[in-house]
Amino acid sequence: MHRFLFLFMLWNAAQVALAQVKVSGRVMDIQNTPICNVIVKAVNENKTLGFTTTNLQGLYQLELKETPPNKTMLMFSHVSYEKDSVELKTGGQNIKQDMVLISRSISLREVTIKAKPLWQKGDTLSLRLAPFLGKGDVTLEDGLKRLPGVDVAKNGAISYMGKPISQFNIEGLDLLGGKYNLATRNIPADYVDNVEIVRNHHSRKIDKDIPSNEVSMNIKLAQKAKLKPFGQEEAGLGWMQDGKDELQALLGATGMMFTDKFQTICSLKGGNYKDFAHADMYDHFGGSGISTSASGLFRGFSGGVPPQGEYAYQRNGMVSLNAIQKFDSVTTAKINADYSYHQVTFDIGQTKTFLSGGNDYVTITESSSPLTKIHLPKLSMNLLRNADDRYFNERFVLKGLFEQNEGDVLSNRELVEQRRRTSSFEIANELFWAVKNSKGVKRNINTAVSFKRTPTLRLSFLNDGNHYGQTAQSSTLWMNAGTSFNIPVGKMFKINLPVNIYAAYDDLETNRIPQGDFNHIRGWSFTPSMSPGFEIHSKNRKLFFNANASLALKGLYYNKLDFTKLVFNPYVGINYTFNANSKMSFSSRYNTNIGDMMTLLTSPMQTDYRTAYSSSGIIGESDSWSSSIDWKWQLPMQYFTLSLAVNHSQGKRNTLYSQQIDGIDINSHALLRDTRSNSTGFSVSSTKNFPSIYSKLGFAANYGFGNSEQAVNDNVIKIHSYNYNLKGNASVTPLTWMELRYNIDYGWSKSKYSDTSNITTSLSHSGAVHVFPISTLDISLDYDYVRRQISSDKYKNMSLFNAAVQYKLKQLVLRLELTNLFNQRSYSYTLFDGINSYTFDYGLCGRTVMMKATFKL
Amino acid sequence: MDKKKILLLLVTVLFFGIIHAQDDTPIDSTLFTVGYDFRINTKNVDGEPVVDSLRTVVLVGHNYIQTRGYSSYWTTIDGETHETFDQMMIEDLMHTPIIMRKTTETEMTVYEDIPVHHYVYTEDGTLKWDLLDDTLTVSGYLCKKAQTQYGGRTWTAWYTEEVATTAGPWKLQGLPGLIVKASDENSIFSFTLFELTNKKVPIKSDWTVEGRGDLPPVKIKREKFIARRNKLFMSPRYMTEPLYYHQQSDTDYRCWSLFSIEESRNPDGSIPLDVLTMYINGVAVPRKCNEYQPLELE
Repeated sequence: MHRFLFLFMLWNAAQVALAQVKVSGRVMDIQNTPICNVIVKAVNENKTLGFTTTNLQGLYQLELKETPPNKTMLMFSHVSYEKDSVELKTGGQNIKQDMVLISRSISLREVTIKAKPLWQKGDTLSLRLAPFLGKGDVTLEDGLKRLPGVDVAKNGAISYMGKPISQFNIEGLDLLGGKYNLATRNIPADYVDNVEIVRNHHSRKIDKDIPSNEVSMNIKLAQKAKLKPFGQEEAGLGWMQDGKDELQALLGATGMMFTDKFQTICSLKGGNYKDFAHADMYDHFGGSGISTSASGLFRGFSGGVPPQGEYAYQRNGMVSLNAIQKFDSVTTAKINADYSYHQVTFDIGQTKTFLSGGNDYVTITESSSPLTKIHLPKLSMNLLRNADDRYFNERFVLKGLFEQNEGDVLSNRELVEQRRRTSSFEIANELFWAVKNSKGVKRNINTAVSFKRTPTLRLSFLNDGNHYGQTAQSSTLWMNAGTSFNIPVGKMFKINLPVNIYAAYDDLETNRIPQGDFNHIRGWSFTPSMSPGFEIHSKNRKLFFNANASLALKGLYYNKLDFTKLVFNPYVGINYTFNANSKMSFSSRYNTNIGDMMTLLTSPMQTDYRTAYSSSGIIGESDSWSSSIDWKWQLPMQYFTLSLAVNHSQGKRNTLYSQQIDGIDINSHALLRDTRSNSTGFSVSSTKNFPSIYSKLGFAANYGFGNSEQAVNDNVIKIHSYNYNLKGNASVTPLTWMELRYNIDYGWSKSKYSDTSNITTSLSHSGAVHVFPISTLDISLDYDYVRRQISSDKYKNMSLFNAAVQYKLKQLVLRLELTNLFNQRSYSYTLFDGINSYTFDYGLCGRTVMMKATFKL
Repeated sequence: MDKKKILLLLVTVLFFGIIHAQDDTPIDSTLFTVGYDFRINTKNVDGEPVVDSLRTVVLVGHNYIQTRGYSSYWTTIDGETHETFDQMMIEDLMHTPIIMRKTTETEMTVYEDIPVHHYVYTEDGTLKWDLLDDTLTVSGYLCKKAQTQYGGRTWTAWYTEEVATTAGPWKLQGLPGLIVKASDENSIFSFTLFELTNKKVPIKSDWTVEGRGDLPPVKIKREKFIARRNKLFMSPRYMTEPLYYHQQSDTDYRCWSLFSIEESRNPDGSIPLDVLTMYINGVAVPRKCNEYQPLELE
């Protein structure tokens, strides 16, 4: 037996030895010089049977496990020689095959793969910033303007596909809240790697199973921004022709640091050049100012804002300290402390035409130079724990507002002095706690308490030697407490049960001097409410339907008033997600607003030098039903976005205000009469980027119509209004050394009542040409052209030109700005408000030159 | 050594410790160069998934093939910033090895750091590849699939016969064509070609690059190096306190910062430690790092 086995193994070994084939040889060039590193392969029908390489002597030896089949090729390749091959001779175990290769110049097909500028993961769209940047871009804001679907407004507000962002994060942390201009205008663009846009954003992770229409932005910094503190210093000096301050100056320093656990941005700025420091303090989510009952009643003397041009003489300064500490992946503590000072004045002429009944009009012409000084200190502290199953948010805010306002008016050749001085403060605390268990049951408790007070508000007027005025004070303590349960029933159905109690105590006094008209209202507003509802989503989670029925008991208990009313407000919402890039939303709600204590201010109050106002004493009630549907579609890889929206609302109020004209005195009082209004709007917007040629195109249009009612001398007038607006913008780079930007905005509106109709049109173009003689030098010229209607057959054309030269070094940016090159000094336009018309004529700031240096630290 | 002493040392080195490169006479010039994106899927201190990434370059010469960090090499060669300063720092912090081999030999010489020393070891670079029939087009190149075992991991590579070289990223080489893409079986590591150029640049015998120190590397056996490296980098404390293991070191260490210390001084003249990336013996020591994923398990 053993012998048999031995023979068998011997036979097998012999077979293996017989099957193995050795191929060897030498590879040389035509000068008979051996070539090393030649890859020698035995290939049969695209299958590599074996391979080796030649040594320094050009020799190779290739062992094949099996006898190669017929038509096996021996292939020789080397990057410096032409490829060659020969059919392998078969039949022996040792095959000799030499080869001569002919040299060639290396002609590799060069490849450079750039990192993708854009990629998508679920609801998160990541855009690498660098490929989108233009040569002249300096700050993060400059870069954001170039991203597909992203718009940055003049005040720095960021929106994606028309939706303003609801959160701005840096490396996942919300350091600044709504004051994100501090980051976008001070972080250099080259310190940012990626910009992430998160659709279906949830500020509370615990809610991520619910569809959301919110959009947030997260900035991913370059590594160099995370290794050490950095920042920028800005300094500038300039001159303004005929300015309130001819000498223009700015000075600022911003420092920041971003580590995995800690972030801070601190800034100190001041100057009188445009809104240099003030612009950084803009809070895009609101909540910076303080609105009390008293300050809301007696507003400052101002005159709106012209859409174009620098019109305001400003002095502003600010200091802002912001820090956030991350304790673990879900817990952060944040402190934001800032103080800002803003002084602004400008010249404005206004012509107001009021319908006084029939076809009679009263026209009032005024000119003024309102001056406002505002001091705004604010401190806020926040502790946040934001986990998938637990949420805790504690926020404390303390802020003050100190305001002085002068609004002297030249009215019908008489100078009237108007003064306003007020100070207010607010202290508030919010707490939100939520938890979700393993079965998906969510519950939350939230409380908020705030105390607002205006200790004194004083208005004083001096008209033709007569002194008169108004004082007011108010205090408001409001509290809100709520709890909510969200209980899943099965996999697709959830029940919601939120319960809420709102209570506010108000104390408001007004005193008109010297008449002695006095209002003093104090009491409670109390509203318990509950909103039972449910959510259903389809198995594939594409369809989401939710509805609730809010039931609230509105109670107003002021002085002798005892008003209670049960209010029922249903809501229904549907979301359908076609795919990650296409989503449709529909919502419809019925809403009831009950008036507040302001309607009890029946004694006259002097709001400006010629207006005395009193309320009806009737608790107002308005009911509105509004519906909207929108569809957003984007093709991120094609850099294309499209959104369509339709909305409709109709409302009913139980009172109608009637205007009463007596000389130049305008009074209004409420008529106890139901009034109805409705409006319908359509909008479309689209953007398309061409990154390869650094170009972006955008288009937006909207159309709306509606009906409303107004009254003059107690006669009701029905007003029909129609409007449409077309916008387009393009940013293109036709040549590597040139960039062009162009915006066009055309607006048309018509209002019609009785036999009268007013049509206004407006057209504005703006554009810019940037030329880069060298990559670091940016010479630009931009213009604004505006055609505005002043009266039915009168138009005013206006052009504003600005120029700039910017030289960008690694650490330093030098910029020379020439604003209002042709010293255009006025800007006029007219607005129609149903039956009245308002014509504004703003004085523009004169020609200005500013030399500015920005140092990157 | 306490922090103040370290800072004092830093300042001293800044003034007097001008670090010079070793002999940088070229030993070869390239036929072509290949750039690879190297990505590592790992976790941060909080256990969240993150990706470490850097770029490497393979210089394919007539007689030598050298692999090293992409940006450090190009900056040294032509003075241009091909990559960002960040990339240079990352290459140092991730201790990107320099691997040399003669084109006609299989033995590789590997220069690699474990804080706070440079090490050198040799190993036989022969890999036993299984050539498979699958094909894939990557970056316009028709690629074939191959698999091998190395360092306790199974590697899958896609190579193109259109570029006749046995070169590839890191220690992955020896296929009958350029490796365009490679990844391990757990998809922790991946190399992807992002650049192939005909650039003619010198290959230097110098194992170091300017500024990394001039201390000679310590010779070590490969197995010992792998064990030592994995033990240090995989210790739990290293993730949060890499410096912990070096603060007790003696004063012979040389420290350097890539940042201008003068600009970062505290008002009292001291230097805040956080702004510095510490180089000890020319070896970068991170302030913190993500979870270490060993390329070689054995």
